[in-house]
Amino acid sequence: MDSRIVLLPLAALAVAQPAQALVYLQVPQAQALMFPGQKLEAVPLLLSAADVSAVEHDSGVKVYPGSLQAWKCADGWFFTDSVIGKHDLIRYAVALGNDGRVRQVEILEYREAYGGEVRNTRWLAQFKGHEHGDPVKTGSDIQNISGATLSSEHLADGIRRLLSTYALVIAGRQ
Amino acid sequence: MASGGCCPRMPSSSPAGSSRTPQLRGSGVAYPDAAVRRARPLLGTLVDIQATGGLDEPALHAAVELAFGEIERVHALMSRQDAGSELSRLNREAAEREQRLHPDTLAVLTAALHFAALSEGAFDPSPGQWRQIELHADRVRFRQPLQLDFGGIAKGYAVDLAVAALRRAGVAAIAVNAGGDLRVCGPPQTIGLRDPRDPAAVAQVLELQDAALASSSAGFSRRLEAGREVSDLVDPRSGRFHTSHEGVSVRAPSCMAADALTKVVLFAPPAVAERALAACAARAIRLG
Repeated sequence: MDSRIVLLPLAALAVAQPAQALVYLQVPQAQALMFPGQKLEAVPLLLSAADVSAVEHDSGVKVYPGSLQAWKCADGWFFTDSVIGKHDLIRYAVALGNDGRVRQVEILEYREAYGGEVRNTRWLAQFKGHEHGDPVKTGSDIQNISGATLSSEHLADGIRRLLSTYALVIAGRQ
Repeated sequence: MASGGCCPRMPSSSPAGSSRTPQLRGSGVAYPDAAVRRARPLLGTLVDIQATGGLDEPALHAAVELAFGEIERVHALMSRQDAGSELSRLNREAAEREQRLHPDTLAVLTAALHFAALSEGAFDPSPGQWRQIELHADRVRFRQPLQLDFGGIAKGYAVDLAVAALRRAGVAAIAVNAGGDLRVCGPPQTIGLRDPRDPAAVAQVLELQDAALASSSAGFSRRLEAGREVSDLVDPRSGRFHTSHEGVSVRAPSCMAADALTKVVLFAPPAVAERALAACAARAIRLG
């Protein structure tokens, strides 16, 4: 019986990297999905040095002034912000209700840190499934990646920073 | 199909094109170009959903909302971090008295115990202790205090639910990817396999059609703790951390099976792994 497990020595691979740069939603699209039919008004956020240090102290996350943008509407708040991790950059939108609770988080944009080209598909002949055929295809147009999960902890940090900013700076001004 | 006995209580998997929502297809209008791709942070990772064709753009967005709703329900039930989740309640109370299970938690626990038996404990939702978990109909009791963790299977289950929701809505081409555990429906899609040595690199590409692919490696969770190398992957039978560079990817008809089987291929003796893969109509790649 032939084995269902194909062994692929990593040393044999000519490793290369795809530039994953995905734009999921534009800001107006995200606004329309998160607060359908509502008029959103941009609210300038001017954080003083004291605000920045209060938010950093409360959230434990570094603040980059100018990164966070805010809009107000009848049902709550719409924010965009970015976090930079070891391997990627994530730009995201957060909808808060008027009670300050998170209603929804949507990723706007995801960028991996490196880019390049994928090569060496010879070994794939071995993996051809008898059920599906799995035609071998080279490089381009990778739609998805399977593999060890990249941590999304820095995104959780970013959302915690946003909630601190809302509680300590924004809610008090309204 | 051989997967029937492998994956109890799986979401229905009718062939693409036999949608149960004829009203969405009755207009005679095709929407070949409409495509929606969205992502949310769930299940401790980024969940990416692509829905293409079969519906117009607003209906695709509505279908994607439904699919995220399925994943959010699994997240709320099975999060270990959230003290209010059903999983946290089981871990606090199921050793004291029998606990009733939500149908989703029941489905995942049933499947987890099935994979534990099939792999002789190489997959184990409670390392080394799966035989201490007693299921009676929709109730569970632990024979001794233990900690259930669905980390090796819940993502796959959630992906399967999301795919089923998108199919029911009439979406023509689907890809749901929960941090590398993914499933596609419709035309073939090109998938990259991440290099377990380098988080930003793709070691290989392959094409996947109407199937799931999941991968495990110690990868980026490898670290030193108190002078010892550890990772998020533990061999449930020896208690040893998996800290080599080796990675495993499994293709299976369902993402739940693919997810669980990666751990079986990593930790079970080869003959047991081959048998488990065959029982689930699955295949594996070892990158090492």
